[in-house]
Amino acid sequence: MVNMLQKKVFNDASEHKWQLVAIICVCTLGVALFSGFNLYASTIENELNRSYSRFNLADYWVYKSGISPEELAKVRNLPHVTGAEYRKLIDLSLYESEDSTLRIHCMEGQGEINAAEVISGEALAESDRNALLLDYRFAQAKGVAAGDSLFLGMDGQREAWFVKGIVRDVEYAYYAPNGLTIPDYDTYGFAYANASAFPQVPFNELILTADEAAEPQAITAQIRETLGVVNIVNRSYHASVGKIEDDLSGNRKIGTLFPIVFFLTAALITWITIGRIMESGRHHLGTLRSLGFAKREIILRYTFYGALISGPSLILGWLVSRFFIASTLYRIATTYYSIDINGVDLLSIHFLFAALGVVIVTCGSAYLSCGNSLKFAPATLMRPKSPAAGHRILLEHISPFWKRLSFSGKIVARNLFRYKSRMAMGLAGIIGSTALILCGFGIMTSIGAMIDKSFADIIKYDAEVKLKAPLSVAETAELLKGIKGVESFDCAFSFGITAYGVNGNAQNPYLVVLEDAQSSLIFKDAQGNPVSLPMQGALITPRMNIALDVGTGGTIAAEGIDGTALALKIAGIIDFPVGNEIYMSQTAFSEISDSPFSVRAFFCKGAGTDVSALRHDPRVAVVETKEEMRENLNIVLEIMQEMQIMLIVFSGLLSIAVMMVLGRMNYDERIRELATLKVLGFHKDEMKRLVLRENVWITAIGLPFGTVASYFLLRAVLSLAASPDMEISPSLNILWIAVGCALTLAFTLFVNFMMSRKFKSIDMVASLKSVE
Amino acid sequence: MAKVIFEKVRKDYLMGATTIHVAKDVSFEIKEGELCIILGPSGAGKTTVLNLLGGMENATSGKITAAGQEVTALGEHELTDYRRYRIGFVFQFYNLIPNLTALENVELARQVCKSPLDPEESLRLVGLSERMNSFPAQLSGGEQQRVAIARAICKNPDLLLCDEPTGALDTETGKAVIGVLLDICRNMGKTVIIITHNSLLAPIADRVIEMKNGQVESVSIRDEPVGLEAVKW
Repeated sequence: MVNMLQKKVFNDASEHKWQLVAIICVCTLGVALFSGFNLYASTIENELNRSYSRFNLADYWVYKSGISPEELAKVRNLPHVTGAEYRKLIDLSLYESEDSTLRIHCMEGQGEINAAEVISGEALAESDRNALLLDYRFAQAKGVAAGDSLFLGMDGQREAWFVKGIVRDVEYAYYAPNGLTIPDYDTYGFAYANASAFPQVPFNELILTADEAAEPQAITAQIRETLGVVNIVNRSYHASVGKIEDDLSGNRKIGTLFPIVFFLTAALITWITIGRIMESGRHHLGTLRSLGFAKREIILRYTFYGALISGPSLILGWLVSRFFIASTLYRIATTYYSIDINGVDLLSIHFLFAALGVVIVTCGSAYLSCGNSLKFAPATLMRPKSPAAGHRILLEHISPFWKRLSFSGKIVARNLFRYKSRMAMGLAGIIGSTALILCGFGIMTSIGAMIDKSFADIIKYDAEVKLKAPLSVAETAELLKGIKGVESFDCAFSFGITAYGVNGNAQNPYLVVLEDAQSSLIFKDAQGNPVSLPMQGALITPRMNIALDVGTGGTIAAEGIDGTALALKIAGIIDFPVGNEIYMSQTAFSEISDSPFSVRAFFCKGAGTDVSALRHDPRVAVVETKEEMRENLNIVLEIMQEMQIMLIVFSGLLSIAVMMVLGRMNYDERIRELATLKVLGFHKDEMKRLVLRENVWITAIGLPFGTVASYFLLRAVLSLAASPDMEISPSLNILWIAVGCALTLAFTLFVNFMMSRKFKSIDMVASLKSVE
Repeated sequence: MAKVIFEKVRKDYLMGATTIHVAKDVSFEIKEGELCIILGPSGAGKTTVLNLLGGMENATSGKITAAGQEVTALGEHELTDYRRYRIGFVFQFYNLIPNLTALENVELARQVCKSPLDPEESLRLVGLSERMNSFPAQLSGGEQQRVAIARAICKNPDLLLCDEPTGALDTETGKAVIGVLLDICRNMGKTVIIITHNSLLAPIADRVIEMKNGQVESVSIRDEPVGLEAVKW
């Protein structure tokens, strides 16, 4: 008996197969999106955490010129410090390829902290001189393998180095030094050598690990007490660790909020649809009850209906999340994160959350609907449920409107309000998917607007040149002689600092000191009013302001990489979407520091500026044109752009699935009405006008609400995605709103077209038979 | 002049490997302005005959002529036009559109006609002038059936086809509904065909076609049918 009941449930399901297929699609999309984005982020995070612990990533980096063995011993003996090593940090150029720089860490013996992972070749022996372990990305870019030789040096002095091994290092998982927007493996790499190779260079870098009970502030204070004035960077602010953490946290936040809205829309639609399907089969329940099946037995079997949806949805959702979404994002991420590429993890906890959500929604809906129906006596269930009573709707009381409405318009309007749950489902689907599609477009246009604002309104120079060693303004002018197209240039004295907020937070921006009369950067406040470079105090971004909780007029304590203390008074907060530096005028800087203004970077202006000749100048570290910066920024945003495309496509699919369910439900539940119209002599097109126009109405009503919802969703998504280095303000223009709305409408019309084919095959005789 | 002619009409249904013959060589004719009752037990093929005549189904073979048109020769589109302009249907279960008032249900039919009657007049004819603005759920079964009749006659059809119009009604209500159909036939001169298994109705008809097992068993013509008041229900 039980098996027959099971069979019956399958038969009932096959009666509604297309609705079930649409619901499976909706659930699949929800599961895929929610678990896909998070699976990507957690894969990278897991990979990094494994590497961090396997290769013993340092908790603190301390920079000081000339660290003695005694000082190292003292640091090792500090409470909570579990290990400390010192290194010599040297930047060397590649001979005859001076724009390529290697950052060499020289150690005594095999380091245990930030241990390099040898990919090919061998580790260094203590006796090795002029041998190094080379960064694998740099080696790939230069075509160097273990066993090859590399020439380092400049100005005719070169020294051959034996590449003993090719390595990867967790502290260089993301390496874009000198303010690069993306890694440039051909220009920047790292290497390890023995300290004995540079006997004349003092130890200037100390790395240490601490136990879990260590308080960052206490450790920092102890180190300062032991070593004097030093620059200390803790793990969260380390260039590589911090950057990846910011990226992942932004991605994870988008990957949570957006899919949750998606998932809620999908859940609501699933809930209502299953309820309607169960309702339409209530006479079957009556028959089963009259045959003597117990309520519990029937409820359990029909709850299985939910499982019929959950099973395929979870399998498909997992496949899409694992092999499409997470894999695509992972592939992009691993092009600039130097991590061990082991492929995307199989699962993350988010899939289990999504699975639980789908099972609760599908089985819960089936369970409750079935249970509600079974409250009635079997005889009541077997009688067809009396149709919802027609009644006058509010619109009818607005006589001028109602009178002008066509006859079919009146039918559509009444019908919409008669089947409220169907309308609610349709509206929720349309509002949800419109909001999601527009939000997807919004991310795209907001990124575009942010880039335009940065490169058209703020950055007025055509190329930025960073120098290896400081020059004077006169030397800079000399350097620029003969460079084509340069009409003017502004010099900048910039250096890394650690800024401490009143709230105890620390940030590691560059302090960019600009010439008083510079015109390379145009500063504006949040309202768009121009802000001139102040002669006293500094300008900061809103992100820095929040991070350090300082405010205009407040002062932040800062220290340079050499430990010099600076007190920066905040003169203003500027709208600067890309980058998070602190800007000062030369005059303002001279009031707080005795350091002379020397040129570390300069900005060139002029139509047709061609700075390519500077790329090979030994004094120049980095040359970046405005176009290159724009291009690099686009690469940095690639993951977000890829996510945004997925969001648009998935939202479109959701919208199609919703309209499919709605159209099908509208058709199935009104088949008797349609057959009557056909008998009365209505042609196919006339019936379509009456029935399918309802979907267009729902879409038309839902679109404005969806547009408003998209604004809030976009704002929320972008504020979550903001990182210290980048802030994207919501910007969605009327054109893209029109495109998004037109797309949703097009999906509705597509579904109407699909449904209209069914009108041809309405069997009048079968449809008008009394309900058996 | 004959309004309806059935000539050797067959209707077969293919159910898997088996063919079921629901109408076998059905032949009869009905004159213009007649009230015809098709009688027979359940499964006799009455409804099939009505569906074939109404253009809701296609005959397997044979020829049906109605209102001067050869129904069996019409294509999908022409059949729709035939139902639209020539036929008025009344069903056992009314099949009213639930979210339209009585008047709007009748107006719905008028939407697709060339020379419809006034919907309010149609409702007055069936005695529902007081309930025009009620929704179907607010009407009794008999009242709903009268709306369905008003909807059918509003189209000003050549043929009014009624499939068990009293099947879902109690005796008194059923009688009132038949009275309305009789008035339409006698006063408006419409040809009305009623399907029923209630043989007590036979005396009111001009023509009675009895069917059994998909075949016409007998056709009887009454020159002087009795009035409804003479029928014992």
